[in-house]
Amino acid sequence: MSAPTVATLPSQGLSGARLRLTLVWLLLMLLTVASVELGAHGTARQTLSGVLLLALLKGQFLVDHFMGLRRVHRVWRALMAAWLATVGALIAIAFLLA
Amino acid sequence: MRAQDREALPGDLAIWIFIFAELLVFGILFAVYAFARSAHVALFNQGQALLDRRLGLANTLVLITSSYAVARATEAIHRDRVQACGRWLLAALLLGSLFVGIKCHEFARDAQAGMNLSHDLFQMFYLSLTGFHFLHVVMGMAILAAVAAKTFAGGYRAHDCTGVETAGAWWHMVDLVWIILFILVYVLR
Repeated sequence: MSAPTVATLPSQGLSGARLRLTLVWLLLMLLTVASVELGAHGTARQTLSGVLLLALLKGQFLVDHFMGLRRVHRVWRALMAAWLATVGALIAIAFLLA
Repeated sequence: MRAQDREALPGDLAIWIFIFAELLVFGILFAVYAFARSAHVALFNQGQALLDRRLGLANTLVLITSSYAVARATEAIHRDRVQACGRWLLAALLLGSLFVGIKCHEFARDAQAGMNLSHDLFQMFYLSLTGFHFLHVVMGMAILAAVAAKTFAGGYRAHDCTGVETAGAWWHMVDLVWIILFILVYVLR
């Protein structure tokens, strides 16, 4: 029986997946703390644009990497992106109208 | 990536229909909150000042970490690492319990401060939105517990892990909704 090649080893390539998930997790934690700091110290406009954009970015990272929609048919990822964009736009409009 | 190289949607298709229905409901609630606020800015800012942002931040970090644990569980079962998958699911469940504990502490604190559903518009929205989301967390925990038990019983393998993926999809949706809810209710002003 021949020895398994690098390509057939089950863990190959997936250590990269674990690293990617861990980096995304750290980034999400960092962006969360950053958005709260911005919310506490920024002006109302800075808070609205910065915090909202950071939240939408976090949402897309979560959709792409944790939900795993990065590698499925584009329509699913597009639906999620559309939800994030619509919710973000409605919140922005409502806050700007206030 | 070519279209034919793309993977199938993780989990059961039915859960995704359910997830999009839930996202639609939460999206409408978020928009209604934001537009109601635009007519009562002072009231909403006063109400927001009563909240402890540190508790909201702590729960956001807890839920993101829990979502990470579920992502690791899914990755583990794809490699046929059944025990690792089960342990990551348990970790997610423990973090979910921590979220519930922190939120219950916050609800108790809100009640002591005299907050209730009929006091004013902000409190009605705040308690309804976070309460509705809370129920989704509890339901997600029940799903995670059932899937974790089946995982430890050897019910999932790399080629048969739809249950793990389905539970994961729901849990990530709960996290996604909280990410928006948190900034909307606790941070934006």
